[in-house]
Parts: sequence; C-alpha cells; structure tokens
Amino acid sequence: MPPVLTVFLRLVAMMQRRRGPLIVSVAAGTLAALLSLSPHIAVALTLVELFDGTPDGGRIGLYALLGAIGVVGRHLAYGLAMLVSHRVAYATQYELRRSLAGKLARVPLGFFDQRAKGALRTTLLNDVDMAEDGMAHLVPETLAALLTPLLAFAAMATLDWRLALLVLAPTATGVWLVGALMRRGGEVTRRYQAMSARMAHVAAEFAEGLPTLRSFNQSNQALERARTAFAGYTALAIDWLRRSVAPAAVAQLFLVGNLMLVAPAGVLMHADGMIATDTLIVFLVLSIGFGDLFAGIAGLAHRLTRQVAVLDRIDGILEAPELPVPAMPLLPADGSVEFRDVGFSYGGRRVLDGVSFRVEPGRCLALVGPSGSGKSTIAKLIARFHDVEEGSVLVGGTDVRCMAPDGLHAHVAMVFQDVFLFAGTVRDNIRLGRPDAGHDAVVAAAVAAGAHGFITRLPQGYDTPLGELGQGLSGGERQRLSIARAILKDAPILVLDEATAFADAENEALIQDAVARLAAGRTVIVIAHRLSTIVHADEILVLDGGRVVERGRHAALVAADGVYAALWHAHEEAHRFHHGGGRLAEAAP
Amino acid sequence: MRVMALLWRFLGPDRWRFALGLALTFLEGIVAAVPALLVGVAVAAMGGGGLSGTELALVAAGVPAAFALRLALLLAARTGAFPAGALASERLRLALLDHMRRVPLATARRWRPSRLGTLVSDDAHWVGEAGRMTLFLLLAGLGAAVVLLAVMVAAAPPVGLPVVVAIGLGLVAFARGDRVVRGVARARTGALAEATARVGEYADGIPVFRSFGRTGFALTALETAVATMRDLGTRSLTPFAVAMQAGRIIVDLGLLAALGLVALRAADGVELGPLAFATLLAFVATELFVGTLAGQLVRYRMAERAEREVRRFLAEPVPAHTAVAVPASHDIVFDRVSFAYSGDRGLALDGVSFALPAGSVTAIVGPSGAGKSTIANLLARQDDPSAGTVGMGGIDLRDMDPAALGRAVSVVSQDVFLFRDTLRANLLLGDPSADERRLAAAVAAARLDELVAALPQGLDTPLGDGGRTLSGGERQRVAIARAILKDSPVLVLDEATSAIDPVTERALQAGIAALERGRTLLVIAHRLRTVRHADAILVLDGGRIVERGRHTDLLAAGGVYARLWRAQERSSSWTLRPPPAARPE
Repeated sequence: MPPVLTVFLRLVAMMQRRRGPLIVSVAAGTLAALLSLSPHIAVALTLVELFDGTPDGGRIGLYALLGAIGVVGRHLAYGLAMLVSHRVAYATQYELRRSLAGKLARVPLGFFDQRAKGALRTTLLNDVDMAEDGMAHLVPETLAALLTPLLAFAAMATLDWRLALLVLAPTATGVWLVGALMRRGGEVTRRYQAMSARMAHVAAEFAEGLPTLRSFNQSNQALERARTAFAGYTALAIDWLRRSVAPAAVAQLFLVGNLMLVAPAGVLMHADGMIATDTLIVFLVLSIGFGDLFAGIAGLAHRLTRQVAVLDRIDGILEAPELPVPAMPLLPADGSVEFRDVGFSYGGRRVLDGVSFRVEPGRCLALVGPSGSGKSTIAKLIARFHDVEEGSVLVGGTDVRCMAPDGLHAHVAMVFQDVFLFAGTVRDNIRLGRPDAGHDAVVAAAVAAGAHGFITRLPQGYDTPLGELGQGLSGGERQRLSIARAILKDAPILVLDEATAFADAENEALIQDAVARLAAGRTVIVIAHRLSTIVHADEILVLDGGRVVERGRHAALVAADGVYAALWHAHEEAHRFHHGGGRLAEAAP
Repeated sequence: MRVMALLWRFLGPDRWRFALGLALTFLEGIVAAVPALLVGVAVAAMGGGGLSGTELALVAAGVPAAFALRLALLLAARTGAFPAGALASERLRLALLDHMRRVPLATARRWRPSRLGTLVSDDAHWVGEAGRMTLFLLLAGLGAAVVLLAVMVAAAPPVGLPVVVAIGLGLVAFARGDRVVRGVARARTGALAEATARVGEYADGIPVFRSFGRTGFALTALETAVATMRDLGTRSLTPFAVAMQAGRIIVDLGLLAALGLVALRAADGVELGPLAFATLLAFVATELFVGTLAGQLVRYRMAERAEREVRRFLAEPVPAHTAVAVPASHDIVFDRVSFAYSGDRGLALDGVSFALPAGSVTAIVGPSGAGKSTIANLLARQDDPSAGTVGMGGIDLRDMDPAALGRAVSVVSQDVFLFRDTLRANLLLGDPSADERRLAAAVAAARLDELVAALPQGLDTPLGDGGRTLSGGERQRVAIARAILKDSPVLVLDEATSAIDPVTERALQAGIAALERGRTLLVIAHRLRTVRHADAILVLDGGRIVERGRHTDLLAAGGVYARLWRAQERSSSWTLRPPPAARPE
C-alpha cells in the first residue's frame, strides 16, 4: 500500500467518532466547489441567450441573479465546510492533548529520563498543531478534492462525451506529469529536505555560538562551514530547477490549459455541423477554469507524507507501556529501604547488577562513584521510576510494585538538583508538598528551609506570582523552595541528590542548614558529590559499573585503601587547589 | 516592490538574467490571454452567422500555437532566472550571517539566537521563493489581466467597467483582510502564549507533580489551558474566513453585475457580437483573479513579511571598524565602568575601577547577580560599557584593533559551546593552524587524553546530535584545551560550579593549572579557597566593588569577605549527619 494511502487510512481511523461532522464538511466542501462553477454557467447561459436571435433581457438578468446567488451560496458552503472542519480540528486537538497528558500521568517516571528535554513539550504543542492539518483538513479536503472534478466531468459528459474528454485531456495529462515529476523527484526531494534541514541547523548553530565564535576570532571558519552548506543547497536547487523546468512548465500549461484541444476541435466540429452552437459555447466557457477544480489535489500527497512523522511521535507516547498498578495496593510499614539482589538494564546496557542493601528507618546511606556508576539509578528505583528486572526494591518492607503510586510517593520525598517551579504563587509552589497546608504550616516549612527571609522580601511575599519556571529567583533560592516543599511533605524517606554545588558561599551554607533540618529524623539516601559531607553516614556504598565494589563507614573505607580511599585523596587534593598556583609556586622562596 | 528591491540587491551579476526572465514572463502572460481572445472572436462570430474560413483557421491553429509560444517563453524565462533567484537567496543568507558576526552582541541577544536562526532558514526562504516562483506567476497573471481588461473595456465599456472596479475593490479587500487577520492574531497572542506556556509546563513538570501526588491538580490546569487553546481557535474562525474570502466574493459579484448590464443592453437591442465578446473576456479575467492571482498574492504576502524582518535586521548598525591601535602592554584598567543590560532597569555595574597588571592574578568574588560575569564580558569586549572605559596598555578597547584584542584575551566560561562537528574541529577553534604536535600537547595538558583514547574515532569523533555527548567536566576540559591552543596573554576564567566527582575535578584543576601558567589572570571565583593566594581580590556586590585587597587583609578587615569566608569554611566542614557521638541513639 502506498504510504500516502496508509496515512490517510490512519487519519480516518482516528476521526471515526466524528463521522457526522466529517460528512457535513465533505458535502459542504463538494457543494462549494461545484457552486464555484455558477459564474461559468451564468455566463454560458447568457451567451446562449444572446445568440438566440431574440435575446430576452429579463432572462439574462435572471441568470445574473442566479449566478450571484450561486456565488454567495458557494462561499457560505465553503465557510460552513471550513467552520465544521476546524471545529472538528480544535476538538480533536483538545482531546489529543488531554489523552497525551493523561498518558504522561500513567507511564513509569523513567519514561521522562529517556527523552530529550523539551521533546514532550514539542509533541504536546507542535506535533498536535501539525496533526490538525491531517485530521481536520486532509481527510475532508481529499475527499472533496477528488469528488468535485468527478461530478463536474460527469455532468459535462452527459451533454457531450466527446467534448468532455477534450476538456479533461489536458488537465489529466498535467496531473499525470506532476505525478511523474514528483516520483522522479522523490530522491531529490529527500536530499532537498535533508539539505534544508542541514542549512537551518548550520544557521541556528551559527547564531547560538556567536559569542564563542567571536571570542576565538573564528567566525570566518564558521562562515565557511555555512558557505559550504548553503552552496550545496543552492547547487541542488539549481540542478533540480534545470532538470525540472521543462516538465514543470509543460505541466503548468496543461493543468489549466483546457482550451487547448476543445477550442480548435470544437470550432471545427461546429463548422462541420457535428455540434450545436449552444453546446459549444457551454463547453468553451466551462473549460475555462475547469483545471482550477483540480487545484485542491495539488500538495495533498506532500501534506499527507508530512503527517507520518507527526503521527509516529504522537503514537509513540500514546502507545508507551504504562506502569502496572496493583489491584489491591499495600502500604509501607516503616521508613526502611531495601534492595534485594537488584539487576536492571537500560537501553540494552546493564546499569545495576546484583545490588543489595538495607537501610533501617532513620539511618543514612550514601551512594558514591563516578558518573554512570549507577548511583542515580538506585535513587530512582526507590521511587519506582522503572520496574527492576531481577530482585526487588522494598520500601517500608513492601515491594514497590505492590503499592499504589500515590502511596509510594507520599512515603518518599526527592530533592534533586533540577528544581521545577510552576507558574503560581510562592505559596502554591511550596504547598505542592501538602495541598491542604495552612498558612502557618507553609511559613514554618519556609523558615526551616531558610527561605522565609527572601520570600518576605519579594514584592508580594508568599503571594508573589512566579513567572514561568520560577524566573527571577536565583539557583539557591529555587533550591530552598524545593526543600520547603519536601519539609511540608514530611515523608519518612528522603532521597537526596546533594545539590548545593552551584550556590555561592552564603547560599550554600543556608541550603546546608535547610537540608540538615529536612534530613533530621528521616531515612536518608544521598547521592554524594563532595565526600566531606558524608563522612558520618551510617553506610557508604561505593559503586562502579553498576556493582557495589566497596561498602562500609568512612574511616574503615579510607583505611582499606581501595576505590573509596583513592576518591577521598582526590577530594582532599582538590580542596587544596588554588588559582595561579604555578606562578606563585615559582615565585615562592 | 520592496521584495523585488531586496532581491535586486542580492542578484549581483545575475541581475540582467533575472530581469530578462521577468520581462519574458510578462510577455508569456500576454500570450496566455490569446486563446481566450480567439475563443471570444469565435463566439462573437458564431452569433453573427458563423465563422469564416479564415476565422476558423485562426482559432484552430492559433490556440495551439499560443500554447506552444507560451511554453517557449516560459522555458526561456525560467532557465535563466530561476537559478539567478536561487543564487540571490544564497547571497542573502550569507549576508545575514555576515551581519550577525558584525553587529554588537547586545543586538544579537536582543534578536535572540533562535530568531536569528529562523531569519536565515525561513525568512530568507520566503524571499527566495518570491524570486523563484511567486513574482513570476504574479507578473504573468498581471500581463494576461492587463490585456484582457483593456480589450474588454474597448469592446464594450459598460460591461467591462464593473469588472475593473470589482477587481480594484477585490485588491483593496485583500490588503484589508490581511490586516484583519494580523489584528485577530495579535489580539489572541497573549492568551495563546499563556495557554501554550501552561501546556509546556505540564510536559516539563509532570514527573514532579506526580512525585508529590498532585497529578490531578496538574491535569486540571492542563485541561483549562487546552480548552482555552480550542476556544481561541474556534472564536477567530469567522473573522479569518471573512477576511480571506471577501476579495474573491467581490470580484465574482462584479462579473455578475456585468451580466446584469448585458441584460439591459441586450434589451436595448445593441449589436450583440462585441457584447458577447466582452462578456467572455470579463469572465476569463475574473477567473484569472479568483483562481490564480489571489493564491499567489497570499504567498507574496509571506515574502513581504519576511522582507520586512530581513531588512530590519540588516539595518542594525555595525560598530565602525576603523580601530587599528595595538597596545604595547597587556596591563588592563577598568576606569569608572558602568553597564546596564538593555531592558533592565538597574545597572549591572556601577562605577567600577580596578587594574590588572600584566602577569597578576586577580579574583572577583560576590553573590550571584553581583556583576561578576559582566566584567568578563566587558574585558573581552562582548559588550561596550555604558559609561567609563576599559583599556589595555593605555588604549581604550573601542579604539583597539578587534583582531588584536581577540588574540590578547581568552575567556573560559561555564557554558561551553560545542559545535556539532568532530572533537578536533571543536578544539582547533582555538587555533586553526595548530599542527598535530601542538594539538596533542594541548589535549594532554587539558587532561583530555583519556577521553580521546576512549572515543571510537579519537579526535575525529563527531560530537552532539547523533554523535557523542560530552559530560560537563569533559566540556570544561575542551574549553581549556581550546584556550591553551589560543595561547593568549590574558585569561578570564569563570569557575565551573556544577558538581563533579573528585577524580574528574582533579583532572580539571590540573588542566586549569597548565592553562594559567604565565598569563594575566582574572578569575570569577565561586569557591573562595581557590583564590586565597591571588594578588588582589575584588568583592563585588550589587554592581559595586565593596571591598578589595589580599586574602589576609580582607579577613582581618572583618567585612563582607570575612563573612563569606566564614560561611564557606563552615559549609566545607558540613556533614549531612552529625558525628555519631553527637547523635542521640
């Protein structure tokens, strides 16, 4: 099946529940296209009347009036078709966005890690916008565009099939030529699209990298890259223009050149007495503009093809497997966390292998290791971002797969480096931790998080609206708001990505105080970056390549002189570093 | 017309090829009217008692001949002119890029990088499309319309006039409709942007909402936003439809008004031949407008809109590059420098003065937003001060040869921009002429050799989309290697703040130490410990220098610096849990 047809059927299937409006739209669209012939008919009838010998002014006036009604009717029908199809479009988009959003509420949280930042936003906004064309326009327009010329031709054929064929022949040839041109140009079109994409890409990169390019005085080099890309694009375009200019010109002439055959043949047949004068006049007039009825077909295939990628991305989300939810959800019994021989792979790569540990309620476990060693995966499996392949993850003594998602999340708070704030007031953002919290509870949480001070300095205090994603707040302030949320949430287990690194000295101290207050009395699992912060952890797991390579308390690990000891020594050396060391060392006596 | 003027500017040597193409196209349009004229003649003759032999031959041969002539003209016009149009849009694109690298960075920031990118890819496309197609189809249509209307009016003025008037009104309605469409679009911009932001927020934030058990809350907000998007679209449907169709309706009704006049004339008993002839031509001219010209006018509008934007950017002023002074030394002096970012109310820097003697190590410390990065930007002349001067070797940077300044100063910042090219190309940005030996030395000094060894194609591994993605620590080291290759006497270092593991951090520090050796150094420091041995420390707050001096003196002074130092010392000995002895167990 040609891909164009596949897409069309896919679109029709998606629209099935809107069959009624769809039929109205197709019918009105076809009617509008047929009524677009009413000036033709009025003119033809007027000419016939003029040559009747004794022209009747009243009758011609009637034709003019009927023609005018036809024109108005055409535009009304067109408006109706458009109105209905767009209403269908907007309603379908609305539903599509809702079902996509609903889906995102049910997929495993790990789903979000697999996608580039912004990809979901693009699908929810841009792809759904693009799908409007497919669902609401392409389906009714394709049908109307095919139906209209067919009906018009049938009507002409009943008058005189020979002349009807002569009117049709040039347009049919033109359509065939365009099709042949498109088929021959299929490969060129693909290369052309690839080249356009490359060009857009080079231009965007140039604009984005402008400060870097300038600071290295290397904008020439980048301009050269752009020049190459643009030249390739132009060469392809010119080559294609050269090769297609003749067939394209012929196609253009034929598509609307309906007079080409019917005019000479018609007058000769008329002179021969084969056809009546009025028949010929009707045909001559109808043939002008007959080609325009086919205009709707142009570009349909191209637009349909463009829908493939859009539908694929939308379906990619709609068909994603959902997180299984237990029928009889259990609840966690306490604040303990346990991994039993956990194995997990991610995109074909073994990320965790035979990891076991148990953290008693109120104890602190630190995860240490190079990036990619599996620390973050452990943290995420506790919150059931994914389901493990081997072994099991137990929170409060219960397998996370036996809990309802909300039950698990109520038990585990996560504080990560990446802070998400939404457009609402400061209060709303803190209250994400506990929606029914009163003012005093919100303030208490903010005070504990060291955020109360800066919040009261904001123009409207707790009622200050935050711009999109919390614009206007510094990194440290955003971090303290997220800690306030977690304090308000008051979950017995805290998963912490030690996230103080980007703040300045004073902010860092404030955040540390806040974290200390948040961590007090809870079970803490911390991904540690600065080893000095975890020297008092109850247990340290040293990970490498998804396996636990060392475990124990700080002093014992340092004494063991293994992986951890090496990390610790690097940490101490890094702490001693200062700028200008080379020069100052040389200058020192 | 302005689109044509813009194209003309970039047609260069192809101008006459292009102009000839346009002229031939106009001619083609005129020939396109011939079949209709011949049919008109035939129709008029049929009314007058049948066609003569000559007339018969004229129509039978003339119609195909006209088509053949049109084909010849089309080929002649396009073979030369279309490639010329393609070349013009390439030149336009290059001119845009060239302008981008010459305008002040503040201008580029104001336009936003993403907009500048689409200016080259999309706006230039629409202008180019006009040069390849739209202008030609419009001109051909114009040629045909002029002939048809002229002959029609000459044959039977009363029939022709309403058609001419209607086409004129149709064009006015067309321009009006465009304005209405833009107005409606503008009116809903705010609400639409707001709803769009909410949907985007949901896509970005749903994992967080879920982890707080607030999925329902997020879904309710999304529901409202997507409903708003639906309603905004539905509500603007009618004005859009009316604005788009008004021109066509007017022109169609003009034709039917002409038929009404025909009815009156016919009743008056005037000669019928010319009347029929004019009626047919009126019809053909109307069809031409409704069927062809209206569609092309819409495309031309896109070109006009793009042309305005392109012209607006190309008109952005470029600082005069008459400066040629080359400083004798690399001593740097900031003299009462102030700076405000455009659109910002406050000053980012407020009367800042300090000196960086050649070979010295100077640190800038202070809270975020104090103006630290602005100093780095001004020193590299990414921006010019709003007041005061930045000088090197006694010469104002504005009077200095930009290339000499570029050679003198390197900036290693936190955001490392990597091009989607090989690692080698990204490193050679520092010095395109570096040979293998120097490149290898820089790679080793920046502690990148382990990475290079691990990459499948070593230095020739592509980075970015479809290639390898580098971690934060690796990107930092690429920036260091670049700066080592560039080997400039002055180095501005914006310390990275992101958390990295200690082994990586050590490697990074070793790279930085190698880079710093022997250069004048300005460090934007986030960890005070790393600058405790600097020759001078500038403490910046709210765009002003509030303290300055060496570490020990500042500590003794007991001011802002001492407070920051104490905070940092406390936080570096901070532990997540108190020591077990202090813990109630």
